[in-house]
Amino acid sequence: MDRRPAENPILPDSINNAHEHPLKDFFILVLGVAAIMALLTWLLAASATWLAPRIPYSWESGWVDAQQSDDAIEVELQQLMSKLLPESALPVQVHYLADEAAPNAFATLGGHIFVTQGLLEAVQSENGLAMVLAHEYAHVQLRHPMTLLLEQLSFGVIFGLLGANDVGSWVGQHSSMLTLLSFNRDMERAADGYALQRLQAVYGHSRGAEEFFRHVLEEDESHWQQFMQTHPLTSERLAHIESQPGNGELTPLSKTLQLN
Amino acid sequence: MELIVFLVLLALGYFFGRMAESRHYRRIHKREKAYRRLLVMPQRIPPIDFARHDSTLVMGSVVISVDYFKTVAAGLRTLFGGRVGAYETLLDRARREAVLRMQEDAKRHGADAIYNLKFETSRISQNAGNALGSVEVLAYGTALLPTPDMRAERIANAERTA
Repeated sequence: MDRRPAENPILPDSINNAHEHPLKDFFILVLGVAAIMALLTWLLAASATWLAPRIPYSWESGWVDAQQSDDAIEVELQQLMSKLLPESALPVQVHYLADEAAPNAFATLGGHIFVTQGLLEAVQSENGLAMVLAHEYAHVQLRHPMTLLLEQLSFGVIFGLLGANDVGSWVGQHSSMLTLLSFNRDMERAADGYALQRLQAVYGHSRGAEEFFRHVLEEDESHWQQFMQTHPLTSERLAHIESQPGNGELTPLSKTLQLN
Repeated sequence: MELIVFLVLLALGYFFGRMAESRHYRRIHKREKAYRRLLVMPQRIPPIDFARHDSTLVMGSVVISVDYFKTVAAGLRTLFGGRVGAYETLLDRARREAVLRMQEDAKRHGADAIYNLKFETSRISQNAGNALGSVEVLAYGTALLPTPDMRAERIANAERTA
């Protein structure tokens, strides 16, 4: 008795192969990944803002060694800084970048504040310089450099998790370029507010605070606007400064700091 | 720049992959129909009818490679889990193609049937890291061949009925 089939069966196409449109699946997955990335990024960024002020400042300042400076300008800047700050202020160190012509100042981790030669040339009075110094100190006080560091680290973690596959590492490479190390608008506003408060406390008025921004405005508004996209527009900041109450005499810059 | 390269590779992978796939399925269906009378059975021991047959090993081997689109689609799948449809079609095609090649080999030998069908797969060059390079699918089995006596008898039978 022959129990063999007469022919091979016709293989069903739909069992081992879904025959679904591959693009449908692909787009669902891409959207899913994008949504998860957005959520994670938002969560971690939010947690960075929450966590940064809770990290002891001593940890941060311990990372970078403080050095005693013998540069006359640096000493002078440091003295102005201590004049501006209240007793309870965090310890910061002011550095002077003598060969940097662009008017600029920035604060980094460990309470290091950098002031360029271009900035000293741009301000006419001590008040103008004080505004910039107090502004940069406010970033340190509000732990903005630490917030940025935590944000960067968390982006690293997200993309590291996704690094297991092609897309993840690709997205990782490109997003790290998008998240530049820069303070956002809210941070800048907060720092401006703090700085104006300090100026009021020390000089009794906030005249001269606008010197640096006015200089920036005259120099090259379009270029600076581009650079400061994350910052409040210079004109907006000027308006805010001018709305401050009080009027008084400007304090001249000390001899050492007068470059022009 | 890298984004453009990525998208171009993705599009190329998608269009050429789709084209190759639909063409291949058309060929598979046609040949499966043509080989339906050449039985392929998974049993290890053939029925008594074949007790006096000769036998030989027949095999069909296929090496397949994924395209860029499939790699990316499957890469996304690794995050969520689930059916990797992109690879399922590919391996389905590979298995069926391997069986068809084996049948072709058997037909060349003049086999009556193939018993003891087995599949093997192996990776080639460690799948080129994580990029999933190539996979071989091998189908092999025992082809049962009529002896020269049987052939002569069949020819005689055919002539008698004619």
